[in-house]
Amino acid sequence: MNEEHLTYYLYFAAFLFSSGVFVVLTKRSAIFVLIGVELMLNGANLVLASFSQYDHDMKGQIFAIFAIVITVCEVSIALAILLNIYRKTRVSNLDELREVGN
Amino acid sequence: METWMIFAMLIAPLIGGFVSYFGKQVSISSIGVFASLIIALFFTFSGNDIQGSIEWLPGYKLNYLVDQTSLILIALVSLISMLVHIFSLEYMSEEHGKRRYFLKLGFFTFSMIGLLLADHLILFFIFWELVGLASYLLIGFWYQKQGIPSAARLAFMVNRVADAALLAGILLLDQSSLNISLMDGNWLMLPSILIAIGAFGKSAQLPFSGWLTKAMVGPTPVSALIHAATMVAAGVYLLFRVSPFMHPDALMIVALIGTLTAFYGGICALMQHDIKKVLAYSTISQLGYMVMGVGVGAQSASLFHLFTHAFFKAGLFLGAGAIIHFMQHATKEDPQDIRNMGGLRNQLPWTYKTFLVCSLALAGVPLFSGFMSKEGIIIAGWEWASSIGRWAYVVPDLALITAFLTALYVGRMVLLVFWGENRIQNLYSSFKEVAVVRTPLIILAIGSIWIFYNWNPLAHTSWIHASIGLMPSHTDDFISMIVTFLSLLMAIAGLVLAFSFFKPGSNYNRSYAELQSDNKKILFNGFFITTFYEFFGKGVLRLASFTFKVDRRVVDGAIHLIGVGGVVFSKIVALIDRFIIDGPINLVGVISRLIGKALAGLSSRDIQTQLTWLLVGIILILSWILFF
Repeated sequence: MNEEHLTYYLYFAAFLFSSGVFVVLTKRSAIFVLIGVELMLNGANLVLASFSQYDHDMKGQIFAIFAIVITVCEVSIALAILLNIYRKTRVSNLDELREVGN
Repeated sequence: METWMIFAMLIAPLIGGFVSYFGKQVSISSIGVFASLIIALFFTFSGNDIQGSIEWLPGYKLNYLVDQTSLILIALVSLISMLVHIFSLEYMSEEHGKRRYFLKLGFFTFSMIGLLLADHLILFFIFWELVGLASYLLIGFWYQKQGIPSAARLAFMVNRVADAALLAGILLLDQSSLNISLMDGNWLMLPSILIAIGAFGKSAQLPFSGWLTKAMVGPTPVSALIHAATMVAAGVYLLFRVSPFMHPDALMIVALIGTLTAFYGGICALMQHDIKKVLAYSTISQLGYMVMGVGVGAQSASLFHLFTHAFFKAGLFLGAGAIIHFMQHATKEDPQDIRNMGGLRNQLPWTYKTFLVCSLALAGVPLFSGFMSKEGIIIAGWEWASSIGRWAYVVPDLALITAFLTALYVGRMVLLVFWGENRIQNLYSSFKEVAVVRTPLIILAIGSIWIFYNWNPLAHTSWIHASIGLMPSHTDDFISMIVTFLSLLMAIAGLVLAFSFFKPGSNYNRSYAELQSDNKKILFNGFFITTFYEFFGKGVLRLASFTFKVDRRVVDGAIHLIGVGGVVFSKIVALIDRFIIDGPINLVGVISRLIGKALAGLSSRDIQTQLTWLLVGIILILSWILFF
């Protein structure tokens, strides 16, 4: 894997991250925001994995797998929280959610 | 000692006035005047001139001089004043303000004696003004009655106009020697004329004569005092004192004015229905004689006429006072109107007798004093005219015509007042000719008889000429003879004409009660001389209102303009301040407010905007790290 290939991976990772950021910043719903966050995380994981492949060093890929696992846990917990809140208040909008929290 | 006596002579009438004002008896005031008379007589017989001075300012002395002239006149003034005081005891006995009246009388006498004592012209002027003030106070004695205050004011103001001229004349003289007795040489024309105008004002000469008839609203004994000895005599006395120094042309003007005034007074007196006005015009006429006498250079004759005139005119006025008092108690009609009188010799025998004697003296009938003194003046006028030229004969001629007019109006007055029948039916009055009324009248009538002046009833000199040391020098006995004859003729012609025209039963006398006094008649109103004063006063008022308007429009306008200009300027400064100086400061404020609003927007929105800005911030920081 040479530098040219790495560049494409990095472009794609940047696209993923940017898409995540865009989703986080534009969508009102908490679910979408969570999806956006996942996109950003995946972008970052892709960067970890690609550099690890480029350097012939497995530490980055190991770290990426750890991150994915932790992210799964975190997403499941976050979804659970959101669902509970939605059940209780019928609110999924982030801004309204702030007021609910109070 | 002598100084103290002179001072006592001056102050005694005033003290008498004050004592009667604060004390219980008003009759005390006549004692003060009597004291002055005694002192004056004492000095007259001791025969010395006394001179002294008062230091008014350091180094500026006001001299007084007591010589025979002033002593004779002081004796005359205090005698007349004393008789007026005595007469007033009865005349004013029912007045509430009689204490005030006697105080004013004392003040009047005091001022006049001071005027006669003064030698320095400034001192003279001070007393001159005091005399004017005193006469104003006395004329306005009944100040609550309608028209009287304005008449008193008119008399006062006319005198003020003339006094302004006198003061100007005094100030134009050589200031180092204002003492009359120390003067020599001739004055210039202007100060001579101005001082003569001052004398004209006091002595009621044309054109100032209007105040004297207006002054008739005062109490009648006051009129006697004003007309006989005090007020109007002051002008003649001034002319007597200063005429040796006056410019010859000014003296000629004095002679002409005096003659004209004599004629004017005589012709106006013929047409009056008010007994006091007849006497007032007669006084104007006689004063004209005196002024004319000074003008033609016969000062001693003028002084003699002043002396004799004082007696018979005071007698006439006091007699008129008795008549008016009688009429006041008898009728509701105007007590001074001759049309309401007639036949009064039955009711007022003493008044009639004394009035007749004084009238004959005024008319210039031989055996009475008026003939002698008037004759002296006319003779001097004739001599003066013969030395000047043909036109100057107008002076003695008019004087002779006036003598005729005098006899005419005197005859008319006596016939209409005392003879015939009463014009008002059932005339009864509680007024009686008591001793205090009778005595002054008798004394004044006796003083009008020739024997007290000269043994010869046709002479025109007297002991007065001798004692003041000014005997008239006659160049021509023919003139004095012809004048004596002519004035005798004039007096008798006047009286005869008066008798034939106004005698009881004549047409005039019968229709007299219904005679209307037409206000349009020029002689009845004395040639409208007071109307002229009013016109003059209105002119002064117009001038004042004109200057007021100029003040309002021009001066105030300029000040307004300056004020408006200031306001406009400050408005401009305010605009500059607001837009040029405040502008940048406000701009800074506006900009910082905009920035603040913009920045405030960052934090106040929802969470995603905040995140956006967070991202922007991170990008900025990263690009700072990466690119710089």
